[in-house]
Amino acid sequence: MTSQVPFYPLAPVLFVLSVIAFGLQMARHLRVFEAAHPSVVTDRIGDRVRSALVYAVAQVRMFRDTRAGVMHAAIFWGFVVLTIGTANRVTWGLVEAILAWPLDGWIWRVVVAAGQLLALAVLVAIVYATFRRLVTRPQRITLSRDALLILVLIAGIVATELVAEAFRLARYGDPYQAATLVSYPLGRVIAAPFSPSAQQVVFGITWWANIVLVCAFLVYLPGSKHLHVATAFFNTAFRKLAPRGELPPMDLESETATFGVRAIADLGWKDLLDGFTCTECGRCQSQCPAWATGKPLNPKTFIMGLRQMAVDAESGVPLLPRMPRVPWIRPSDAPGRPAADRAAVPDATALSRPIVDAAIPYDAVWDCVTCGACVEACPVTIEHVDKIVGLRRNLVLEDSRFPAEVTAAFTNMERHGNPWGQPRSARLDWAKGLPFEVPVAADLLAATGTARGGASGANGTSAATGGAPGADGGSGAGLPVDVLYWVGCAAAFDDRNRRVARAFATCLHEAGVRFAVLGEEESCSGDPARRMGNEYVYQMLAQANVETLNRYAPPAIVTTCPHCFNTIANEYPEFGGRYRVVHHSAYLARLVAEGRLHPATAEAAATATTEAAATADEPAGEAASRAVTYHDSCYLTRYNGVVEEPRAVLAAIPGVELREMERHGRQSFCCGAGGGRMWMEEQRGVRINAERTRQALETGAETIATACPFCLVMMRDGVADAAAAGAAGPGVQTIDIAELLAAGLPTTAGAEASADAEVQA
Amino acid sequence: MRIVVLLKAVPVVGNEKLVDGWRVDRSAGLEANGNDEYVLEAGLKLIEQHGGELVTLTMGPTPALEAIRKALAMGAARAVHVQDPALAGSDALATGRVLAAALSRMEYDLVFVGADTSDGQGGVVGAAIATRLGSPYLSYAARIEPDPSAGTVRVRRISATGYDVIEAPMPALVAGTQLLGEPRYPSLRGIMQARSKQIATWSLADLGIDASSVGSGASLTDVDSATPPPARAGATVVRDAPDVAAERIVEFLAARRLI
Repeated sequence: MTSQVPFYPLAPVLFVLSVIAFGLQMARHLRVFEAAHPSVVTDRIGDRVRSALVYAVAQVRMFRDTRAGVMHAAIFWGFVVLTIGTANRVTWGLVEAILAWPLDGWIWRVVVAAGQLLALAVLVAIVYATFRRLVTRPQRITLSRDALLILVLIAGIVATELVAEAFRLARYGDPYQAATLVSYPLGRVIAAPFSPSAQQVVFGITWWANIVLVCAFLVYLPGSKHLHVATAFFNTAFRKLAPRGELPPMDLESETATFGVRAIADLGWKDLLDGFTCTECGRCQSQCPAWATGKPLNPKTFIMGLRQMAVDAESGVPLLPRMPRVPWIRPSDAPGRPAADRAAVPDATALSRPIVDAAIPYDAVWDCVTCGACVEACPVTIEHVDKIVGLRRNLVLEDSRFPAEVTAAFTNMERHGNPWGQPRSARLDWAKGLPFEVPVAADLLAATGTARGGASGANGTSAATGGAPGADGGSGAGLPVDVLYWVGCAAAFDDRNRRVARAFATCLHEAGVRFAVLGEEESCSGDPARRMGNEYVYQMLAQANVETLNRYAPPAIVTTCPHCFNTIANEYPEFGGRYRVVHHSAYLARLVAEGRLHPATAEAAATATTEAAATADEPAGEAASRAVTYHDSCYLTRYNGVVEEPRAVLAAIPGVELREMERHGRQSFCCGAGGGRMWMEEQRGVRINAERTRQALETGAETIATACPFCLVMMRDGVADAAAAGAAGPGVQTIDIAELLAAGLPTTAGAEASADAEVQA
Repeated sequence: MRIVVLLKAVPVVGNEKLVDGWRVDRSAGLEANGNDEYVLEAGLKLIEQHGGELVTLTMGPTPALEAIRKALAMGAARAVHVQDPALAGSDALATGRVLAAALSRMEYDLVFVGADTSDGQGGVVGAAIATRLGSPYLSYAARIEPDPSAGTVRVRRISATGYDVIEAPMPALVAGTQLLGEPRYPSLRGIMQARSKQIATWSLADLGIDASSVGSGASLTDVDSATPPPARAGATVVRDAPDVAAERIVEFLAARRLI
């Protein structure tokens, strides 16, 4: 074949030169990586290989947008197979010689046929992609010259290959021309009218055009957003394998290190690889609740901004030592840049330039609800949230720069152990008026005389000792209970959420679960402090809580708050706190499944616990169905995969008709309170809870069920605002699943009445 | 510009406990007095603006160190801590004598003091010190504007009807209020730098004060009795929708002739 190509030996030479240009540019990217912090990517090799296969090869996340997924798969697989042909063309037909040797050339026939069909698929996909970018224009996609140029390059490579082959077959024929499913018939149509010499000329031109375009693609790629073809495999293999809800650890004792992330030199090199892997697809942007409600935060432009900062830092580094400027490789190499700037290492000024207000506006850093929708959406496993928290850490710990209203929350957590600033002595007020006793851990131990002195009660084994509902808890070493109820500050101090604590305790009591609470010994888990960047206060709270919990060594911990749940389960191990932690939705689901709780009808549930006086008069007892929508908490669903359990609880309540919102499960839309936003004013754009409430009301549900204290408050306020604006009927209620479940239990009606009487006395 | 900020360590508001039935428990859990943090913030801003040094002066037992460290973390250059077992139970007059003696050993252009403290709430120690030192006393400051070149300080003093602008030569003593602005939150960097800052501890002997002239024995003020406030009477919780709730609150207030 190669003998048919004019000036053929120049082709491999050109190709090798292009590969060298590609490699040198990639090596320059690595110089910035070298200046960044180390990232640990060599652990859990099996998981990493699997990750690369799932995300980079199978590209599972791409198919969440089906049409885009199919289009991308066509281009990807087309590219893979066509690369075989390219390799063949620049190696004097070596690949063909090898593959055509066994099985009478059938392997080569299959490769050729597949390549031909995929080439056609690529062309169709390119047409669709161009149409999308220029005509339908999904909001998430950035229209850039870079993107269009890449589309033109790919289309050109594929088209020239098909046409060159068509004219070659018309001119010379080929033993495998029957397998050339597209070019052979094409040649008979478009090449046949030409004379052989004209066919040869067209073949020569298109063949060379193809090779030149391939080489141009290689040289262009390292400076393009399309670089993901080279980096996605590595980025998915090197992705964060720790629980997604576990923020990176931080050494607060270091006198010299920068706290948190100020500049790109403070990031890990994997964070920079994130930037070089981003393809601007905008799936993060389209899932981001802050962006959706008109705030300046855009996860896509943040990651692309980081990449730009890395590119700026490396732009002075020559591709080769003492190499002359090469203006056509990168715009930043253009003439006009003083030669003295060209050092062998990345520019120190650029490396230490603050990220805030360069890659991301200051306000946007605080707009993030850390809901993780962007991370969940990214097809190439980019981590946005950890970086934003890193920026917050730097702003808080180095500069004390944060929204003014956060000061109170920080100070309250520090002084009072809760962000509300309520006295510790009020921690058990929620339990007043319940018709049964809520045991306190300290009293239980004092009574049973099994106290384990001091903080030495290390607990590394309780995970194995069960603690499931019905299991014989109290392994003899710790607290004589089945489970320790970690109430959390919201349920202890917020008026609305105290009802949730009462309802959940009632469920435990009704099911005969032996439980206890920590009472005054409980403090804020530290989640809000940590997510707002105040690692100092977080570590103080976490260490104290781990010490307390280890002293009691509970067989299991149950929380009504997904944030406490996430922090205790995923982040306390760093401080030696290893516990079996269950969220109340999972715990209740099991109690129901084991037949230990018998829920009443949804109608009774609604009537017994409704907040709105208007619905209190509705007749109870009829098993009429009630439309309920369930709002997934980010830290429960997305961060910890608890999706089915709360739905199982709802399904167990007779008469509940579950109506899902479009954004549910792992694609849930945040209520607006995560990441410490509960304690910040929301002045930019539409309120996130208003948008989420709109989505909930769209289902036509009269009840919005939640499983998180913050979600409950945000959705309740959203419904109240919607009702005031006439967008929600007076009967719409927001309620925790524990309340729905507890409502019909025999203990409940009296308990709620007396609790209300008590606060209103 | 040299500024001394008087900083008192008080029990966390809401957590006050009494010992012996009358004396405030200062054995643990102390924090910087709120009003003192406002004047500290004002002082730090002035140092940022004019240059110089801000020093805190505290009289109190060992647990007061926590409040002192926080002030250092916020940006005070160093601290003086007057500490002596004989000081326990000192009244405002005795406290004023000790702090005036300490101040007479320090160099300053301005002394800042909080309008009052959340535990004693006397609000007279500042005036007592100024009287002993014979220096101008500018109280209830909402804004403090020193003019180092003229050697004067101008203060916006809040009054019942608005504010007065008063001016005095330096050195002077200024008592400040919440209107000076929210105190800064110390950064971790600040907390770490504070560890190497100097805290000088002075005893009564260092100040040349006879131990028998201070403390509860020598105080002219006696506490007859001290009782915690009665538990809050039953609150009415309005849980209605906002429009109904507003009506009910108005009714409630109107019924008591409060509006």
